[in-house]
Amino acid sequence: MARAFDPGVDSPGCFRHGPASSATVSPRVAIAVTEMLELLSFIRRSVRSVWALELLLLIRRPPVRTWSTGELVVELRASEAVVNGVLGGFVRDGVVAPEAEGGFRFASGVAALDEICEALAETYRERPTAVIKAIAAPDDQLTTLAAAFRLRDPPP
Amino acid sequence: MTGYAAMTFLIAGALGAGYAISGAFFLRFWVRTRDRFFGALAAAFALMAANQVVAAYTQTPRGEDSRAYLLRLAAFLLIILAVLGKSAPAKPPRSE
Amino acid sequence: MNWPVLIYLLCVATSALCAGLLARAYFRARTRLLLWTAVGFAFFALNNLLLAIDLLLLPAVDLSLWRQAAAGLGLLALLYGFIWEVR
Repeated sequence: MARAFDPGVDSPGCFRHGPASSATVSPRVAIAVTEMLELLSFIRRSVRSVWALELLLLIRRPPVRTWSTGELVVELRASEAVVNGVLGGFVRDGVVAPEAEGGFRFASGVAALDEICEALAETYRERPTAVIKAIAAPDDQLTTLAAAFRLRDPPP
Repeated sequence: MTGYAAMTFLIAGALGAGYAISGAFFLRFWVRTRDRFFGALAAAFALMAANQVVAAYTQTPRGEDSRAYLLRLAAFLLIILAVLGKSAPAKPPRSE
Repeated sequence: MNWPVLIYLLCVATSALCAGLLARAYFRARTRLLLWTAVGFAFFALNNLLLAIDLLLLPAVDLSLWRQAAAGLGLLALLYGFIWEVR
């Protein structure tokens, strides 16, 4: 008996262990949907602006190296405040690792992160507007506003 | 009515309208997101609008005699509850 | 037991808390809506603080103009954010 997907309860991982309903969906589709959901949730959690997207795509380009804030400001043509804000969020989410001499480096080597960033980069290549829309989804502003009131510091 | 009293009423009215309009925005946010948090804020700001009206009407600007402050208390208790409600329920841990 | 003063101080604490939470969120996400809402609540905190002070120093001072200015600025900030920064 098929059960309705409840985003408040089911995390994408549950798809793999779902009930008999998964027999009606081909495994390939199930995996694709799972990946899409994980990518969307990664975007909503960690990629909160187009600046963040550009910075991420920039620093994960091989060869992965350490970047200083100044270099990022120049490369992205963004303000230092924006770059610092984006870097702060990425460091907190484990996407970027701060280096000893004050530089920042993409935290490659974590398989899940590499996969999701690869998926993000590829999706952005194929469907840039869809990615931009996912980042700037208007109701996310209100979700962000409501989420701001959380006392502890969990991801939204 | 003195000019001063008239001015007081005018400002109180403007502030009351401001609170009411903010409450209306929160109401709209509640409908859009279906997040009860915004509903609580909408009610809180409506209470603040009422607080302004009562304070002006009873002409005790600081509200200490008319107990308009109880309306303010109710408003901010709602806000506290809303904030606590935002933080309290822990979502089931996601398999990352 | 001066209840009104205590209540106003509670309101100060609550608004300040909200302003702080919003400011923290703003410095991370940098969305303008968060900024204006934070500013709004900061002014509300100021309004409540002035209310408490006004009441404590009852006949000596009349801070009504400053109180209302604080509330007014808070509302303006909030409404500006809601009108222009929410799509």
